[in-house]
Amino acid sequence: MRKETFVRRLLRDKAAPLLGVLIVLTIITMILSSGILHGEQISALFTKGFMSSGNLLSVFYNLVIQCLMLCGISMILIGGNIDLSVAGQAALSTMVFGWFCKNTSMAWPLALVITLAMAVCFGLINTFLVNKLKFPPFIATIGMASVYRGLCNVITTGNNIQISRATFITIGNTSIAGILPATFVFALLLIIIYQFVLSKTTFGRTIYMAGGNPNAARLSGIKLNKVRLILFINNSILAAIGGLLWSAQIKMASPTAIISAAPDMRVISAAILGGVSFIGGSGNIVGAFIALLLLNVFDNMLKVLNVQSYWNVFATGFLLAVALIIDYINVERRRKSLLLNR
Amino acid sequence: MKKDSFYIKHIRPLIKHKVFTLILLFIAMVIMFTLWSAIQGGRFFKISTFKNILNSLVISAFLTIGAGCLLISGNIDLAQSAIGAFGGMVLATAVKSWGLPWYLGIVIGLVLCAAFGSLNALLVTKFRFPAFIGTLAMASMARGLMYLFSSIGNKGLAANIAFNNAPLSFIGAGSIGPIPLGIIIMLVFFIIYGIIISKSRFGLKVTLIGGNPVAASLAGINSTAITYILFINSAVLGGIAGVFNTARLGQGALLALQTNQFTGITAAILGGISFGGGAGGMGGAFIGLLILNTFQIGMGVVGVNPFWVNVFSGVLLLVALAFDFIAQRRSRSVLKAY
Amino acid sequence: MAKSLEFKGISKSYPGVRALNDISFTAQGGRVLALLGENGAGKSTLLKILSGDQKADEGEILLNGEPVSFHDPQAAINAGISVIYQERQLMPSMSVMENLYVGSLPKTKLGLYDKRKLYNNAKELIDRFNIDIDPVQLVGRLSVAYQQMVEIMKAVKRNSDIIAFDEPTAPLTDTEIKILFDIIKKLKDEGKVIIYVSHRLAEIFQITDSIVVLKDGHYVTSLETAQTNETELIKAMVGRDIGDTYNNLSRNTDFGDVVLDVRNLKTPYVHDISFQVRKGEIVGLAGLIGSGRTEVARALFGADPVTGGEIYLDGEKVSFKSPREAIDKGVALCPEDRKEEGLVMQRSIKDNIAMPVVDRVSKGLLIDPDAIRALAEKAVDKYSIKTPSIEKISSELSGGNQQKVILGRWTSEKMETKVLILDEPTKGIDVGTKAEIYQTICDLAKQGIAVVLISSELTEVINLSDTILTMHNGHITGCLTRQEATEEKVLALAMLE
Repeated sequence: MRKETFVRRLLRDKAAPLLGVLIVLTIITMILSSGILHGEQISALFTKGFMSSGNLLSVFYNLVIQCLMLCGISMILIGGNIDLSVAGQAALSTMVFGWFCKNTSMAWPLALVITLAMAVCFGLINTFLVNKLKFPPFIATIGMASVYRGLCNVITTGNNIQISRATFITIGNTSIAGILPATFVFALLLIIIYQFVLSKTTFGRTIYMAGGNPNAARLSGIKLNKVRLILFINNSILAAIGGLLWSAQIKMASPTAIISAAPDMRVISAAILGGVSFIGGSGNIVGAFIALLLLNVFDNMLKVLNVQSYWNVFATGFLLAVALIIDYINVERRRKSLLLNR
Repeated sequence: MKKDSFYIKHIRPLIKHKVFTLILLFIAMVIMFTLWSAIQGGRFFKISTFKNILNSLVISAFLTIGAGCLLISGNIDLAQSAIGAFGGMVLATAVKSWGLPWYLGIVIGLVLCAAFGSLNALLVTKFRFPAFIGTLAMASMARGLMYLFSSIGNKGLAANIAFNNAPLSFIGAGSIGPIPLGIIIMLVFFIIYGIIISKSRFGLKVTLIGGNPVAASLAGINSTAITYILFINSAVLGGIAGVFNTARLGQGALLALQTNQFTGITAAILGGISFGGGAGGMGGAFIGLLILNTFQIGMGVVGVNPFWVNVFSGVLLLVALAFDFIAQRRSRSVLKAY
Repeated sequence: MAKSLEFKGISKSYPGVRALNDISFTAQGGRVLALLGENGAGKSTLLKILSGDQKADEGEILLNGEPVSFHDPQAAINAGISVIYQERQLMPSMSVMENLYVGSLPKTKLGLYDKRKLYNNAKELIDRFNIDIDPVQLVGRLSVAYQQMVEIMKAVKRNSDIIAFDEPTAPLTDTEIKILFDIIKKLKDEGKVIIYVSHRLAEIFQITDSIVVLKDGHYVTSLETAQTNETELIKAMVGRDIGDTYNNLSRNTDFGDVVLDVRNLKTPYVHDISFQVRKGEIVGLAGLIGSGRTEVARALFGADPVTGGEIYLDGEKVSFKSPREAIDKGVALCPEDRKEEGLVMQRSIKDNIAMPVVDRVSKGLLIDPDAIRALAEKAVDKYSIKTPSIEKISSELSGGNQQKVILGRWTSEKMETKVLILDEPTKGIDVGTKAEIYQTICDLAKQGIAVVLISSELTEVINLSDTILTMHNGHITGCLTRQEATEEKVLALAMLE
C-alpha cells in the first residue's frame, strides 16, 4: 500500500492547478493592463492597471460579500445541502437594516442585532422546509429566494435607502494603505477560521460525514437534522453580514444591486470549481477561495482590458459546466473500479 | 368485464381531475375580486380586465408549456427564460443590425435556442448533470451570449436594441378582429400541446418516462431521444416567448423575461403537473397560469402593493409544492440530486 | 464473563408476508454461530432486528441474560452489537482513520480535532489485524476487500461483544478470506459472540462452531458443525409440504425447436453462460441471491451490455443494444422489482399494458383510444385481473394483480413474444394468486412461448420448470430435468463453487 504522503495528497487536490491558473492569470492581467507593452516603465506593473490602488480596492471590496457567502455556502454544500436563496437573504437583511436606520433613531448596533436575529429566522425557515416538510433543499431555497426578493421590493418599492450612520460607514470604508479594506481583512479572517473549523474540529469532520454518506452517518449516530440546522443558520447569518458590509461600503441599502450582481451564483460556481462537490462530502474552503479569486480576477481582467463584462457572465456558467463534467468523469472512473462490489 | 357507464367513463374523471378544482378556484377568485373591488367602488368584472389578464398570459404561456412538458417527464429547465431572452435579442439584432427580414430573424433566433436546448439535453443525458445545476450553468452562458448579441452593432457595448418593424409590432401587439394575435397564438399552442400530451403517443411516452423512468426504458421507450426533444422544445418555446416580448416592446431588452423566470414552473405545478413527473396536462397548466395572473392583476385592481403579489407567488409555489410532495411522497429524477 | 446472545420467540411480519415466526436460539461467546437458510428464510430480517434497524413484532432479545430493546441503530451499537452488512457504510472521500472513528472522533484538551491521536489509535487498531493499510488513505481508493476490512475494524474498535457478518466473503479473494478468518478467530478467542451468515458451506465448515438453520421464517434446528455434514444441512434447509398446487397444473408437453440459444454469454457480472430453450419449454434458473440470474436476464433483454458470447433467436444471431431492440424481436422481461422497475404506479392499468407497444396502438401521431382500450380489456379478461375498470391506477392493485398486468403487457395481442423471461414473478404474492400465475405460465408455454423462469423459491422453480439450471457466482453449475431434480440436489448445485 502506497503511503499517502503530504506531497502526493497536495498534488491530487483540485486546488493545485487552480492556484497555478490564478497566478498565471494575475500576471497576464498585470502585464496587459499596466501598459508596459506600450513603453511604460516596469514599475508601472505595480502601479497601473490591475495593480492600481483604485482597482485593487474595488476588487477587494467586491470580494467581501462573496467571501462571506463562500464560507456559508461551502459548508452547506459539503454537508450535502444547497441554498440558492443567499442573495435574497442578503438583500432583505440590508433592506431591513436600512429601514431601521432611516425610520427610527435606534442605535445601529441594535438594528444590527435585530437584522441578525431575522437572518437566524431565515435559516430556521429553510431548515424547517427541509427537515420537517422533507423538501429537497434546492426546491425549498429556490422558492424562498423569490419570497425574499419579493419582500425586499415590498418595503422599498425597488428604491434604495440611504444610510447615514457615521460609525457604520466608517467601518465599511476604512482601508489600509488605500488598498486593503478592513472588511476584506475581516473576510479573510473568516475564511481562515472556517477552513480551520472544517479541517481541525470534530464538528467539521462531522459535516463531511453527513454529506459524504448520510445513511452511514445516521447509522453511526450523527444527527443529520441538527447538522443541517447549524449549517443553514450559519449560512444565513453570514449572508446577512455580507450584505450589511456591502451596504456600509456603498453607503446605502440597495437590494437590487445585490440581487442583480448575483453573488450567490458566482460563489456556488467557485465552490464547485474549487472542489466542493455538490453531492457533498468533499472539498474545502481553501480550494473554493482560490477558485473565487480566479473568477474575480478573470472578471477584473475583462474590465481592466475594457472587454465587455458579459463574457464574464458566460464564463461563470461555462466554467461551472466544465467543473461538473470533470466531476462526472471522476465519478465514472470510481464507479467502474467498484464494479466488483456486487 | 362490464361496460363502464356514461357517468363513470366521462363525468367522474372530470370531477376527480385536479383541473376541476382549479376552475372552481378560479371562479372563486373572480368572485372575490369582483366583490372586493365593488366594495371599494371600482369594477373588476369587465371585459378590459379579462383582456388584460389574457394579454399578460401570452409570454408566460409559452414558458409554461415548455416547463410543463419537461416537468411531466421528470425534468426541469432553469435556463428557459435566459435562452428566451437570448432568442429575443437575436431577433432584435438580426432586424436592426443585420437588416434581415423579420421572419428570418425569428428563424435564426429559434434555431439558436434549439441549439441551447440540445446542449441542455446532452449535459443531462450523457454527463448525468442534475438538471437543475446543468441548466443553471447554461442559463449563465445564455445570458452572456445575449449580452454579446446586444452589443453587435453597438460597438461592443451591451444595450437594449430598439427597432422599427411593422410586422413585428403587429405580432406583438396587433389584433385580428377584437382578439389580440398573441392570445390567438397562445390558445392555439395550448390546444395543440394539450392534445400532444394527453392524446398523442409521444405524450403518453413522456408521461410514462416521468412516472417511472426505469420501467419506461425497460419497456422499450427511448428516454434519451425524448429528453432531447423536450429540452429543445423548452428552449424553443422560451425563444418564442422572447420573440414575442421583443416584438411587443419593439426592442431587444437586456432584462427580458426576468420576471417570468419561475412563472412557468409555478403555473405548471399549480396546474397539477406533479414535480416528480408522470401526471398533469396542459389544461391544468393553463388554468394554473390563469389563476396566477388573475391573482396578480386582481390584486392590482384592488390596490394591493404589487410587490406583495410577488411574495405571494413565491409562497404559492412552495405551498403547491408542499401539496404535491405530500401527494407524491417519492423522489424522482429531478430530485435525485439529493 | 460469559457473553451470550439469545433470541426468544422473535416474530416479524411485513404487509402480506410473515418473515419470522417464533425464532428462538442462543449464541454463546467465544464461538462462531452460522446462520443458514435459503433466500427468504429470514436471515436478513433477523439481522436487521439485531442491529436495531427494524423492530420485532413479538419476542425479545437477551444480552447476557438481560432483555434489551433498541429504538434505533445507535442504541444497538451502544449495547455492543455490530452488524457488518454487504452494503458499505463508509465515506469514500474520507480517510480510513476518520471512517473508523466516525461519530467518536477524539478531541484535544481544547476541543479540537486531534488528528495525531486519531492516527495513533487507528494505527494501533490496524496493527492488531496485521493488515497493510495506511490510516491516512482515502477509503474510496481502497479495494473492495480492504474496504470491508475497514468495516470489520470499525466493529472491533467499538469493542462490540456481538459481531454479525452478512455474506462477508462474497467480494474477497482467497488471501483476503484467510485474513478475514484470522480476524474472526482472534475475535472468537477474545470471547465475543460471532454470528456468520453465509451460503458457502465450505466456509461454514471451516470457521464456524455451530449452525442454526432457518426455513421460511421458522427455526428448523441447531447443529454442531463438527458433527454434521453437507447432506444433512441441505436436507434441513429444504423439504417442505407443497400440497397439490403443482400436481393440479395442466402443463405443456409439446416442445418445438430451439428458440433461444445462448452460447458462452459473458457480461461484467456473469461468464460462460450457455443454455437453450425450446418452443413451449419452461427453463428455470435456480440459485441464491447474487448468483447472477437477474444479470443474465438483463443481458438477454438488452438492458445490460454483453461483453462476450453469442445469442441466437430462432437460429438468427442477435445482439440487443437496448430493450427496444429485444422487444421488437420478441424477447420480453418481467423485472424483479415490479414496483420500481415494472409498473408506472401512478398510471392506469391501460397505460401500463400498452407501454411497450405505444406505437402499435396509434393511428398516425395520436393514440387510438379504441385500440388501446381493446388491448387492455383483452388482457384484463385473459388474466382475470380483478378491477372494475382498466382506468384503475396501478398502485391500487394487489401484488398479484400487478404482476398480472405486467404479464398482460408482454403477452398482449400487439406483442409477438417468443421468449418470456420472468424474474421472481410470484414475489410477495398470496398463495391463491400464485397458483393462478403458475397455471398462466403453463398456459403461455402451451401457446408456444419459450419461458425462462427465475425464482429464488426452490419449490417453485423445480416444480414449474421442465429443465432446471443452477447458477452460482456468475456461472452455471448444473442442469437437471424436472424428473431428476430434488430440492436437495438443486440446492447443493446452487451452493457449488
